[in-house]
Amino acid sequence: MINLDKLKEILLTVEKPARYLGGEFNLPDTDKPCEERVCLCFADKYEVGMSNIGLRILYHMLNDTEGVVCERSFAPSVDMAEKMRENGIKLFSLETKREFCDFDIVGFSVGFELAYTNILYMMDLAGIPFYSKDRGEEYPLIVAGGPCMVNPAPIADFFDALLIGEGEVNLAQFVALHRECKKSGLSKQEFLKRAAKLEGVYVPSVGGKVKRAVVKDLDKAYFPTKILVPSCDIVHDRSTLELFRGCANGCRFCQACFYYRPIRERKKDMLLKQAKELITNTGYEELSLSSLSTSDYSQLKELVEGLKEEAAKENVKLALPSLRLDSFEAEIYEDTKGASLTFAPEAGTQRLRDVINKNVCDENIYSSLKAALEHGVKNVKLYFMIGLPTETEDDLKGIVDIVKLVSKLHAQYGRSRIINITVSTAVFIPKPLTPFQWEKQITIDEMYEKQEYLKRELRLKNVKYSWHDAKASVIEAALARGDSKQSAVIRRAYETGCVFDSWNECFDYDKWVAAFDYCGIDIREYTGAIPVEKELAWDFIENGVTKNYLLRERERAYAAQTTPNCIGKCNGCGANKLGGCFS
Amino acid sequence: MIIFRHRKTDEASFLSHIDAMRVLQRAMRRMHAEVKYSAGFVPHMLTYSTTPLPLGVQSIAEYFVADSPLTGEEELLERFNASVPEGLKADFAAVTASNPNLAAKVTASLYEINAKEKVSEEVLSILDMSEYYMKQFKKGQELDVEVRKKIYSIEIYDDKLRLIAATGNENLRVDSFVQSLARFGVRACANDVTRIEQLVSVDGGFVAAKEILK
Repeated sequence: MINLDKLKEILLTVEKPARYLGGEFNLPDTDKPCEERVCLCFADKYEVGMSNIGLRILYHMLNDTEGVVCERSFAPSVDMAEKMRENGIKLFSLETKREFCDFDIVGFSVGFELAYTNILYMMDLAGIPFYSKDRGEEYPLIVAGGPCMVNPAPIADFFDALLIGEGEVNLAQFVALHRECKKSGLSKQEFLKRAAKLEGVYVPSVGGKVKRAVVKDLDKAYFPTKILVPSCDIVHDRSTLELFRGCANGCRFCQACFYYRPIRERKKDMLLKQAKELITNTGYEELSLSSLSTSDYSQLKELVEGLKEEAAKENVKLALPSLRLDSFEAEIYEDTKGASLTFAPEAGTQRLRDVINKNVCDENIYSSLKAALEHGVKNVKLYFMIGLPTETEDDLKGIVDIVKLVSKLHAQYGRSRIINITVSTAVFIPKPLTPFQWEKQITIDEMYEKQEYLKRELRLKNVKYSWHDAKASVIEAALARGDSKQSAVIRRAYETGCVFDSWNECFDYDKWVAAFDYCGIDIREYTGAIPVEKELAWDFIENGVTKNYLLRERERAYAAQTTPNCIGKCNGCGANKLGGCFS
Repeated sequence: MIIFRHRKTDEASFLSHIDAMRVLQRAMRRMHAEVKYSAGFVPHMLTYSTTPLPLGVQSIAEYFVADSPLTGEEELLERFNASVPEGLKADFAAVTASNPNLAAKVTASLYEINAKEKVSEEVLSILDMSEYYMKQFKKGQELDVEVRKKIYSIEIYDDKLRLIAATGNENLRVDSFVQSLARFGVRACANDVTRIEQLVSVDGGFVAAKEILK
């Protein structure tokens, strides 16, 4: 355990000390007798990590397991890290202030490529050697899971094991097996050999293929309703209900859509029960719904009506996420007193929307916006992507046309006197496990050119335009399709000062470029087009969705042919082989 | 109105006032306190507190008031304690017909400073001084502030320093004060300070705020 007196002194000198202390409401009993102690880490600040629903589920799941204690650790801010180093305090867990070496397993949830350097930052602060091969029996098992496991190759060398898929399945089994092996006195390597046979567990030192672990029945899966309620402000400070996993729409740029398949729903009655418990147990003033496409939930109307009734009893606000344009239900929206509306057409023209399989037509956009404005919506947020495969100047012009259409519709039908239109563009990043995984990313110069065009054309009344940082998109793309050679790059980037790369104010492109150069690796190797016959760094993972399906979808993209939503009629992506597919 | 005297210790002492208020408002929801809301465009829960503590200073005497129709002190205390984190538990509950407006009535606080080493009696000489300056941060600037009139009494009790100082409009920043004691060899930080009670002026003397709620 760290020196608590020293910790208290340094906490008085850093920003937001409550981040480092725990002590939240609904804290599980972490002093109970235990045979296995796990520390779950999130490689970003407390307020980001505590907003992560996956971390919450796994944290409570492990603590609800007899004989297992799970604690948390987050990346401390730079000011705190400096003070910790000055005072010889190693990175610690929030609950019992233990150092990492006092745990059996330290697990990192990795949600974003630009968090890779933060993993090393946390290991460094904890006094843990970066590479798995350099860690002996005296160190805990260092493992990783989370969405970045779609292609863990760039960070695989840092971990003893990678948990591919859903933690309710593989983390639970991994911890249980380790507990048994510890009792039998097995060495770390002996344990890892056995762990490699578990569903969804990949051990880099053992190698081989791995099949992604999925929960087959969401209604039977663990979901906590007595969750931690942070005492300080966090990014998503509310209760969240998870409606379903996977997405039936198949937008061809979207990794989450394919990665989280098969599609599995929670039953409405189960969700209402969970909502009631969450409201009672947390005291949160807001309840939100989580899924990749809420409007595709089969009983959305009935669910929202039930939730509204439950929420009204305790003055709880129901927050609905962005709804798809093609199924926008203004009636539901108005009832939730929504003054703003978020739409993501993603592309400016019908042609390009067909290429990316965003099954939204011009008529949908027109009628949905009209309905929203007639219902008094005064803030419209529009999300687009630039640099999509086959994009032309006409497609950029199409973005401007949609924005102008909102103004025009507001003038004709708007019930609200004012209208604020926020337009945001992200840069297309070819991600693994999508039909666009072989595509090239546009160059930085092209990104700037397109952004400049939109800046110029969107200088319109009541319109605010924001864009995603081009340079960060390049590094994200390079790491997303990276291979094992990149572990050296990530290490070099960290050692030269890259940390909190997903925070605009901290991201330093030049240092990343220098790190790639230092390691003799050309970034363009990873951001350029990849021949379809080339073996990919993530081919060792059986993700459900097959390569053949992705290739077929790619061909349809180039022919501007759409693929319908797979609810009701399976498109044969292959995810149903993992079990439990709703479709 | 329901009123609780709660502590703000351990982890909770590092919560900002706004964060602590949010935690307590959520506790009201968890204990089904039926607290009234304001009638404005953005309704907010009608809750009240006394002068905020500086970050890191601990307390066993914070007051939280909510406009709730509930009654029954014992049950209230039980429900409150089941609804707050460990560092904010209460030891006293009261029910009043109207808002006691404690923020305006509390004029002083009793603090206990648990210094890291034995405190020298030299510190008591502050009481003989006509002026006492300490460094204090105001809007990011470090200023020398004269605070003698805000210090009502200092004594050494059980090897600890006990201080009664102004609270409210004329507030002594106790975190800055405790740092200023380094000149007397007192080694302590804000987290070594605990507010023992908040005091109300009655007949030229002080009584604990909870006494006027009985």
